[in-house]
Amino acid sequence: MVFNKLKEKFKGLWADKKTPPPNQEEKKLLSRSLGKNEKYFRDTFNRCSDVIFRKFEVSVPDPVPVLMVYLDGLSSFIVGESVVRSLMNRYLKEKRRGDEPLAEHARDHLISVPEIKPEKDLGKLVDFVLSGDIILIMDGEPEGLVISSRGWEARSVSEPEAEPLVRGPRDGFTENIRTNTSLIRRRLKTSRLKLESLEIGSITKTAVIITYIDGIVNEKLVAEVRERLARIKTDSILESGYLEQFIEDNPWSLFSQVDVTERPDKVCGNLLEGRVAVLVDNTPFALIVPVLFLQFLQTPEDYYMRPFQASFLRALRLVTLNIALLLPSFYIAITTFHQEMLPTSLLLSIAQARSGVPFPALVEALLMEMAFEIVREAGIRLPSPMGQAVSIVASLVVGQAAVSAGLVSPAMLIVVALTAMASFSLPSSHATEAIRLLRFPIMFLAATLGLFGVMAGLLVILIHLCSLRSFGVPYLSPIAPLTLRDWKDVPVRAPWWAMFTRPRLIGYKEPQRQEFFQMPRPPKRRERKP
Amino acid sequence: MKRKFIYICLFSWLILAGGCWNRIEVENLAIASALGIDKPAQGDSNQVLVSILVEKPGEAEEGGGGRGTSGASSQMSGWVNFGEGNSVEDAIRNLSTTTSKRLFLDHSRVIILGEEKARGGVGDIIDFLVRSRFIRLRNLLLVASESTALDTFSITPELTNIFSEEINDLITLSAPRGANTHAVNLKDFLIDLSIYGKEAVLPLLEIRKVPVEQSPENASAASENLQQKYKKNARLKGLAVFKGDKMVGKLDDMETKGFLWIIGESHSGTLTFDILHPETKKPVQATVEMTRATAEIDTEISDGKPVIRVKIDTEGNLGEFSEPNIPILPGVMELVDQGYARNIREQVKLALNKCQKEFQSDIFGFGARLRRQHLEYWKQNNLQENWTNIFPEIEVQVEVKANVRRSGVVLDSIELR
Amino acid sequence: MLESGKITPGQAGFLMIFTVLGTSNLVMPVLTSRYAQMDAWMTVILASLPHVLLIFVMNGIRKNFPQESIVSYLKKITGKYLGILIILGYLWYMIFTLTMINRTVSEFLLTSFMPETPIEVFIIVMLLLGAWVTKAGLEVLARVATFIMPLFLISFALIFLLLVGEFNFSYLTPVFEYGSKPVIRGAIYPTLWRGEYVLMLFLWPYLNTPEQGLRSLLQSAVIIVLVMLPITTASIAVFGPLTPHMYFPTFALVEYIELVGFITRIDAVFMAVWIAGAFVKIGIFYYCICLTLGEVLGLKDYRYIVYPVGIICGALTIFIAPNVAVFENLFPTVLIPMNLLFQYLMPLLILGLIYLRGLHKEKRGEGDGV
Repeated sequence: MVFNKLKEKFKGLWADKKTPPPNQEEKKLLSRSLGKNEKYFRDTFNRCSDVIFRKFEVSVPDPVPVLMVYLDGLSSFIVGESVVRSLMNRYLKEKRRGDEPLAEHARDHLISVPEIKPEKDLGKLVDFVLSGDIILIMDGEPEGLVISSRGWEARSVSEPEAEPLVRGPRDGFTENIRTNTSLIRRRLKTSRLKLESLEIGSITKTAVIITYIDGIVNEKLVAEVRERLARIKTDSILESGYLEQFIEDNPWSLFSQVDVTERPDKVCGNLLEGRVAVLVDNTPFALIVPVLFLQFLQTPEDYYMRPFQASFLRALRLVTLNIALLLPSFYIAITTFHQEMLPTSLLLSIAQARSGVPFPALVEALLMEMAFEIVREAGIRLPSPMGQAVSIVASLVVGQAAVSAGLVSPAMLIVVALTAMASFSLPSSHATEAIRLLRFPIMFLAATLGLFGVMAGLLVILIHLCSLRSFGVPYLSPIAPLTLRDWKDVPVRAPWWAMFTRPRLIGYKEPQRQEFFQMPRPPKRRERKP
Repeated sequence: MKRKFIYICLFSWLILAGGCWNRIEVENLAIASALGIDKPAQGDSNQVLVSILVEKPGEAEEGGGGRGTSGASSQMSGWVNFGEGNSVEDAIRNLSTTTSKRLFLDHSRVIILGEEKARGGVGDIIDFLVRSRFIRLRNLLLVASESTALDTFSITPELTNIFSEEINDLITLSAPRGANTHAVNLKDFLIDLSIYGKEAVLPLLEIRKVPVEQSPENASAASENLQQKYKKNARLKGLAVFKGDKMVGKLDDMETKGFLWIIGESHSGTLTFDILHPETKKPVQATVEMTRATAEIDTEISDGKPVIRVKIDTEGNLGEFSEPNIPILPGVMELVDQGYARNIREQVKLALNKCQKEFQSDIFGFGARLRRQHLEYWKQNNLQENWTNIFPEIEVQVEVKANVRRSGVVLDSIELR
Repeated sequence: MLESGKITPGQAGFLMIFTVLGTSNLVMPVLTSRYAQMDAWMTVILASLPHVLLIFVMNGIRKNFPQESIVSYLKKITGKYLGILIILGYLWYMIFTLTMINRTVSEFLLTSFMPETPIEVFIIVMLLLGAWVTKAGLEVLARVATFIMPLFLISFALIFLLLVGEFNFSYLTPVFEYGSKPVIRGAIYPTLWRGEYVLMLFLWPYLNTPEQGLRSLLQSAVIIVLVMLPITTASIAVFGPLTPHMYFPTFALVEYIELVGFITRIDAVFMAVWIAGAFVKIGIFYYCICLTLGEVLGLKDYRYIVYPVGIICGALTIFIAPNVAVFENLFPTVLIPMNLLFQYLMPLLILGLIYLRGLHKEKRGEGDGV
């Protein structure tokens, strides 16, 4: 309504201000004169102190001036050194046919670097420099050489801090997209693993890789991902979070419709179920689509543990999800509306505990929840040893003092602490985000209409969740819509030998994962006898 | 989506602005743990006197053990308040004018009727008990024996902190072991009142006065007030028999046991009776601990008259002999069996006599049973109206099958020198 | 057609279970036992006969018009004006039923939980929820139903399991104490509730495999019997002669649950689950009203009229009856004739007309095997 009108009003504004797309410049080709080229590059990289221009001469057989341009820090120093050395080696008596272009000769005979390619376009050469390659321009040659030498400093592969596991691989993605693809490739040794590369962002020129397993994934899904990514017209992608917000189905939803992970094993497991992962350069967080709501209650570890334990943990997480969302509201609803639900002695002790508290239960709960959120935020932002100290101070000192000062009742403290623990026990911080926010409106509903209000709130959430889709897949499947065949991996986790087929709703081509009936059995008697 | 957001905002504003109608904080509640209904001692007989026992949160916290023994023996478990009114609802309204917090009756799991009130008829309060949403059908009903409900609230709970819990536990956990009372909740009571051919019973609650030990520290306090040397405990004793909605009499312990045998609600208990010593032929007292009992009521029409057959099948373990040196032989066990059966029969007869002759009240549900089994006969003789008249003359045959199976951890008792 | 989504036959079965159980859990044993007394459990089985008949009749109708909505084929069968008239009748039936459902639920909440809250609050909240799920579409409605279904069924199973120790089956005897007539009279109400399956006439075109609809509807009919039979039996076996006097006997059963002294007074939790069930029922009726009205009015999208319909229904719900007695009186005076007409007579008439006018043959030539 109001928004629509505003949009109409501002539509004109947008059109007027529209800047021409930055890639519209006409193609500029490399000049044959090194001087001109050098001037072009010097102009382009004006005031860019990290660009290094190295000019020297190659004499095969006559001296030819050569310009090498690269970025300090981004390009591998070793590669550059070897290129210069091999070109400047005067003792090399190379045979060069008279008609052979110098660039070709240098590429084929002189420079001992695995990846090297010619390039004419000046604009692209600039891009290569910026991405860490070394470019080599020789006087009188129409083509420059691009020597791949991206070797910037990178964090080594280490254990992902946000998703620790007890059992499972300890490697996590890094900021380097190549390292990340190699981590995936190491696990999926098949040519069917496809990695489609894109570049998004007119300034950041971030490399984005769509990865999937051909033959398992639904082609429509890949096409949809491709299309949604291609739609993005922005100047910068600094983290996969930017992408996530551009490609979501319902951007107004509190619930995340894209899964985020820094674990290569999780990505591989999802690829094997027919999902698509999107890797983004400069961030260890990969995106996985489509995602089901219940996936947020799963960890990769579920698949490494024995099925009983894993199933128990999944059930436990369902309980903690409900506690995290509902416990404060339940407490408010029961103590202010449905006191008959409590046993008499419990009711009396709650009444006793609350007798000095000046606030109604709702305010009390809100205060404590806010305090808890503050402590949590403070703990995250501070360096980790200090963060722990802060949480201890907050929980012990503030909590204890608040109770003894009669500001809050001990019962409320228990409720809030339990809620906090429950929300921490959920494996995906992505899922807890929505839960954390939804807790507050439900608390208000509980304080106004009791359990009826809580139920009404839950129904609103349910309607929303049911109408949500992640890349076309209903968010609540396989519960609603019901696909009983997929339940082997949702409320419980069936043993691996029993999970013959991939989940159905994601849309797969190759339903069968493994051979049927591989349940381990004791060897037959005659085999046992030697 | 934006529109939806606006609607959600509007909706929540409406709800929040509308106010919170039924909201009340816990600390503003006067939590009544028991509800008592009496006939006022003086004044209009149509009025009712409603009393409540409000639990005080702080006191329940302190723990009952310390409270019961520390000096002032007449300490009650909470605060007793009462109010009179033309109806129960009215009385409760009047009562709340003297209660500083909002009255909360949902936790009054025990409803106590004064004996006066019960004898005068409970018809006028039944509708309240059914209609009110505070009163649950699970609530236990009791009749205060020879006192008012108000007085029973002065009973000190000994093992729990809360009066209603004490009574509730007493009647559901411990009383069945003694087998001389019968837990009746509101639902059972209402069904008994509305079903044809069955009258209601309610357990009787008696106030038992126990002298307080005079320990040195509270001796002075007690001597100051002589009236406080007793403390009041609860005791369940027998049943109140109703006819229609009026209480007509009481069953004592033995009769209650007989009643429970007939309806098959006897769960455990001991019976003591005499048998003849197999050798000396002198009477010896034997005690049997009942372990299992079932009863079956069968009806039959003979000569155009209904005959009731009660079959009781019970098992027990030998508890004790009053005399050592009795060998456990098959013959002896038979004697015990016979004595056991005889004893049960006696108890049953006691109960039957009292109800048929004295109260003329069919608390056993023979009529309902007859109606179920012989509907035609029931309709022909218009027993719906006449059953109460016929019941005293009806023939009841009692058949007892008693087996004493085990003899405790010894066979023959030790021989004394 | 105004709805682009499709639902599976199983989901349709779930939706229909909710149309029956959504409120009959609240009122049913009392309405049946008022007539049939202690034989009320038989009415559950007895009501299945017309119920199954209705399912077959509807299947017969839709077989002849597999891909068309009721509005379009009714016009073909009865002519344009009569067809519209019948559809308007159905709309009235649905709106009236919706208000009755809403009022029942609100009365239930009011008497059992929050007596001081104005009834309008419950009415508005329930209607808003219904409006939102209607706007979200049929697929979402079906998914919501699928999600709530297990909770809903578990709540009934729990009542039965937690109270099984309290049963006194002697209340069930003597069978046919007052003869069979009261039983048949008592069976009218469950028959009316089951008759709400007539909404399938509106929803059948949106099944993705319409030919399997019959099977899943019959299965859902069995589930309904399997739920209602234990519940009715339980309320009679526990409350005996008190059953006909209770306002919400199934709820009284829940209040009566007590297990190991701690699981007691869990009624508020059951209330929450049943509210969810009633919400689905309201959602289905709401959706059918908006969809049909949208089609009659020739709208591009039925979503335009969701809020106006809600306002009408909300006002009706409030003004339908001034007090409980008048409201209860609506059941025998208005509900019975209206429901019998629209739930049973009308489908039979339509089917008869199809065959009388020979419309079935030409259709069968085109689309047999669907």
